[in-house]
Amino acid sequence: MFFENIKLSFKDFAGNKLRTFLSVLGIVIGVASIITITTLGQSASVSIKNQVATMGLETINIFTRGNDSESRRIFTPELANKIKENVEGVKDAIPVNRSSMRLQRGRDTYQANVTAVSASFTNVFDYETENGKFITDEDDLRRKSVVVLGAEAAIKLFPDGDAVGKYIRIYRKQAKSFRVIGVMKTKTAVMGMDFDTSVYVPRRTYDQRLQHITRVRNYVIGTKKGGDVLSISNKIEDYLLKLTGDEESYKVVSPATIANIYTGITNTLNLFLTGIAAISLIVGGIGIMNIMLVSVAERTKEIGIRKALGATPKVIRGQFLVEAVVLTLFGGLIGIAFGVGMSYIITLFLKWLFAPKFSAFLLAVLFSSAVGIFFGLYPAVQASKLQPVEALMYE
Amino acid sequence: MNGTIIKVKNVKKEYTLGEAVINALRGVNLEINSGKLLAIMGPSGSGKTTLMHLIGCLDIPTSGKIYLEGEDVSELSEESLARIRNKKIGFVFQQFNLLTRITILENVMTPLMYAHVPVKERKERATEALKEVGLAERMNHRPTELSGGQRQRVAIARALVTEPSIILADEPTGNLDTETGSSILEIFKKINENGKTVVVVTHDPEVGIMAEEIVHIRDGLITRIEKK
Repeated sequence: MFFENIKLSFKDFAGNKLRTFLSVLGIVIGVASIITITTLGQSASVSIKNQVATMGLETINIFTRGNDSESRRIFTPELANKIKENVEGVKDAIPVNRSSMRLQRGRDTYQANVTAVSASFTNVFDYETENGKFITDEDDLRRKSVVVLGAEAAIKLFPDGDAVGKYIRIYRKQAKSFRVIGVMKTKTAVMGMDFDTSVYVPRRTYDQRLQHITRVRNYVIGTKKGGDVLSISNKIEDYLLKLTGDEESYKVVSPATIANIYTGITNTLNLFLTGIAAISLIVGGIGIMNIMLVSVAERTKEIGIRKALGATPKVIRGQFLVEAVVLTLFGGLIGIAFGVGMSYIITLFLKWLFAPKFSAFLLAVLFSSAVGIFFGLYPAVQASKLQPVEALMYE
Repeated sequence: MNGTIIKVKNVKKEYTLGEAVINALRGVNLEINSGKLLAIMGPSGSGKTTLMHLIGCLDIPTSGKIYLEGEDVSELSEESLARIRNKKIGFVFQQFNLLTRITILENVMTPLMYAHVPVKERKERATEALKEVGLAERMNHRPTELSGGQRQRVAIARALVTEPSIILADEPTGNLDTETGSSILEIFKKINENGKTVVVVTHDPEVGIMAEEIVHIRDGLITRIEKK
């Protein structure tokens, strides 16, 4: 009988196309907006996460502040090792200092960030060499005058390519000669680290030949694969607070924190917008209830006939309830189609990743059925309560 | 199958219309034997249709008892009444009362759906019933595509399809011309000859001629029972 009722509903809708369309419009709009909002929200989160992931989600930065003797005493290159030893989940910790200096090769000059690093720098950032090799521990320990060029620095200083093995000068009060041992592949800037316009020298060489390192400005932390970056960065904060007693003297930043802030904002916004859209579903439900009441009134005679033929009140109630649910479900499905289409077009324009959320589809289907049951129940009960004789006599 | 199939015992039915109380039936006693073709006749407002509704379990009496095949149906719930209507009674109305949005085959199948008969069997039995009233070749038509006489024959097929023991007809010829009406009455006669109890509420004197018993009713009371 259930299938007959569904079939019957469709017959009724087919006979009243415009009315059916208008009565489900509220549901269609409600579901379409919910789907659009959740899909866009999801797409936004995924896009943000993807962007952050390309920066290296596993990286944590510590920026230090202050120039007093206390901070100089604490933020030493050795602190990197201490962090690595004392904080669980830390794979690499590298002290990084950088300074803008003028580079020269023949007549070409180039202003670059000269960055003091150690060998594991490339591991932390997944940074690859194009030619030659990166700085080794030996280069560092022996304070060799070697330099590795970022992609853009290499193009500016060696427009014809073939930089490895050649010499450049780095000006710091006076010109110092450095041998190029490698050229890096291009890499997108992350959190103030502009890879391509930088050149890299061993930290000890930098300290001795270019600029004395009184305080490490920046520690770059690489975390172990699969570790929870957020909890590791919290542990680092705890460790530094214990060490310094002054939470103003450092700042721990990870792409994961930034991503989380973004996701948090989008989630809250989503919830809020979905709530508003849900109200439109309720309004849509009232529309359904209205049309079902009209339908019951119009079909009083039919109800009377059905009762005369042996339909129990339960059967009549079922018939109208099924009709209401079919109506809202139908609206829900159209709404999903519209919502998906709309959000697809919007993501296309925003160049976001299109990330439909299938759980939202399921929820929309369930919710619109629930609206059908809730708002269809009263008209259905009214129909079932009609007295057979009165309904039959109804003209 | 002999004996009393319908027993009406001191039945009263009151309606309230606004503030006025209308005594549609004022103490009706009637026994109808199984297999009879019986006519209930009376002027309009006499209460004959009300009596038919009560016998047909479409309504319950204000007081008194009604027994169908020995079962007291005067105080049953709406659910139980619906089941009795479905199983024991076939209705034929003056207005035909077919469902206009579905085909005549589906119309005839409907009571079987309420009897929870499987779809395949429903279709077979409905087709058979339509064949018997000579409408098998039109079974996929809508009621609106048929003439009055044809519609009434569909209604008869629908009444017969559940194989009820009682057929109740309310002015079945009232909306038909004389000739068509006669042919419909012929069908009732055949149904009766096949052993079903047929009760026809009517003005039509032709029905009176055909019936074995005529119950005359006026102002809510039976005035005379005419047996042939």
